[in-house]
Amino acid sequence: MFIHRHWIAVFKIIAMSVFFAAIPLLIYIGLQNYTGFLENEAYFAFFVILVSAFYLFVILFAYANFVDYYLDVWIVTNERVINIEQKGLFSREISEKELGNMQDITSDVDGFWATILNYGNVYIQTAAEKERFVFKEIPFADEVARRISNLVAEYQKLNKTIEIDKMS
Amino acid sequence: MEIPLYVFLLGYLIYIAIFLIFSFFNLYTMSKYGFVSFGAWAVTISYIVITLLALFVSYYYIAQVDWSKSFQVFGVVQEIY
Repeated sequence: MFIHRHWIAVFKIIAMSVFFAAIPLLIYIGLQNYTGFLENEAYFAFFVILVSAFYLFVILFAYANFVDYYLDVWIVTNERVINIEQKGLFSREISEKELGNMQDITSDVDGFWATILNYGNVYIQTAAEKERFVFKEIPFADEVARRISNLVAEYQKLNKTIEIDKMS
Repeated sequence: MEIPLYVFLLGYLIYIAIFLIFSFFNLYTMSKYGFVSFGAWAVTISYIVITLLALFVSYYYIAQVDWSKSFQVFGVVQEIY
């Protein structure tokens, strides 16, 4: 399984960007219709610079958040779980654990939108360590947790069989 | 109190430089670890196109301004109200 966060994460980025992008437009309409502020060349120049800087910030904010979303990946194979997490621009964390080390797999679908759109978190507790894997806002969290549980059970069963074969 | 307009232009240019540095690191990160899907390419190309468009539109308006004039700080309140 190759898992990204749910598309709601992208929707949030787009919605926030559109909301922020609308602010200068509303200010412009207000200033243009109700004041003579923009008729002064110096103030107009000041306004243009501010709006331009603001829009560039919104574009950069949106793209940086998309990069953060896109580079957060969880990979589940029949042997191990790999957790790849992009933390801002200059920090990337990759960790992996064998399925045999997985102890407790919990899914958490919390809230109205999470229930309607079917996304949530999956928590995987690994053996002998405080650290745990968190699959954030992934689609079909219940199903993913169930599949990982099945894979863990199969892995442990297979390992026991191999051990018995070695002993005999 | 008057501030020469070119001071704002200078500040804006510094801001653009910082913006370009951050853009570079974002694109670098994406090119190094991303680009597996068409979606990632599409978003990255859209980002570059929208950025260029925003810079071009800004330049269009900025080029029309006489930057030798001054900005009256306390006049802003009077102009709005």
